[in-house]
Amino acid sequence: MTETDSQRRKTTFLSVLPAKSRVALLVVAIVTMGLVIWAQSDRTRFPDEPSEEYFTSGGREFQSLGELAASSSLVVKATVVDVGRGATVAYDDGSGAKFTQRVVTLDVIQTFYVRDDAKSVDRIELWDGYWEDGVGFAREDVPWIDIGATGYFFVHTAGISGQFSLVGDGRVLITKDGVLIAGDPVLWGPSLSNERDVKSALLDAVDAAKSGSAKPVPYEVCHPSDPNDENSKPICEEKE
Amino acid sequence: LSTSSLLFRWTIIALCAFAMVGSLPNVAFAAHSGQANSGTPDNAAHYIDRHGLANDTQNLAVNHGIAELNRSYMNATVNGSGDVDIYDDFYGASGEWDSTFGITNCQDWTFLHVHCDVYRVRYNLTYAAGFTTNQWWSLGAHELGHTAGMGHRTAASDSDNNSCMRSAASALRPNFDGHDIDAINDIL
Repeated sequence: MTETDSQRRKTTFLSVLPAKSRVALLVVAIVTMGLVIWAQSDRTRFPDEPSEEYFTSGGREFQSLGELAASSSLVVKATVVDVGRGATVAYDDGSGAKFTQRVVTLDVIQTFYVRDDAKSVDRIELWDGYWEDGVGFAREDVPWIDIGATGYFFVHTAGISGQFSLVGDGRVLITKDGVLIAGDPVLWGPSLSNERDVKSALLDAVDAAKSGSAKPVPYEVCHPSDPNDENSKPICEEKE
Repeated sequence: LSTSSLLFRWTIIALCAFAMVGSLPNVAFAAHSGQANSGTPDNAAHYIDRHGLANDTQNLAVNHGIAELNRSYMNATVNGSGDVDIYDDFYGASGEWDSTFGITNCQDWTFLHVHCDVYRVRYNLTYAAGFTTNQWWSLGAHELGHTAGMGHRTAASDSDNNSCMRSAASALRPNFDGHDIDAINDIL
């Protein structure tokens, strides 16, 4: 087959389409290409809304709000003043996993509880994040919050300066319709539907933590006795 | 190039582009119903890849998790690969891993984000290394339960306190309960 034959065959293939269809096809192609470029941009790779939930398993099971408060470094009312992209952490476990923080900065409006080993602060940072492909994720039952969101937060220091993390699902947002309790609402009771009731329950919990009638729920943190052998006997210490 | 040739090339590009866009995750937020919810598996066959796991992760968490999955219609096995990638490490107790014993997420979705093709499970030895056997079982079955499409149970929906799918791993709840098994079978 000569080049001329080949060219003629392609021409014949498309020439069966009416001119209007060819133009429409071209428009579709251009729009689709535009979508591809947009889809690969930071707007979708690091979106404003999470597209996935992930699942965690923790070991601290709180039997009362008092235990939740006693296990917290701080119990505060706070409002979100800024949201931005934070540090990226890569793991060397072979998974190729990377985690980029979505840092949520909150101004503290009121502090209800400061544990003995903590100190009061005016501002806290919490975070959600993005997987290595830029897909935003949220922990199950703890949706992302944005600037202006206000609520009550049970937090403790997360080992990174200035940053905190929620203790359990310790977050109650104030909404125009009432309140939005993160996670399993069992600790709060079934009838809490407004801020006044939430605050009342929270104050009772804080009183229990302050008086010592509610205790922190302990947990163990371990490291291998041989840093190069994860099967070596672990050395564990109990924390609260 | 002639106009028709250009049109032909654009058509091919457009088709490829459409496929790429379609393969991107959608932005709908998955609802939670207290049992099976987001990230359901694409089929009942569950080929599990283990990546340099510590002995306890392998022998206690993964083996027990597989046995629990196989109480349902699922067919989970380590004799194959491509559905679940499992890792462990002393990930630490700060940042993302603060108070977190294990994390499961979907790494690859099927076309149009309908089902999860490949899950990624990570066990945090920083907390789990000191576990008793029952705690390991609870954690192992819990994370692999997520790869069967199950979300978390609450105290209210697990009033008899015997599901490992509660959000906290507990030696008191090392297995799926009947509700969990039903939930998996409903998904498949």
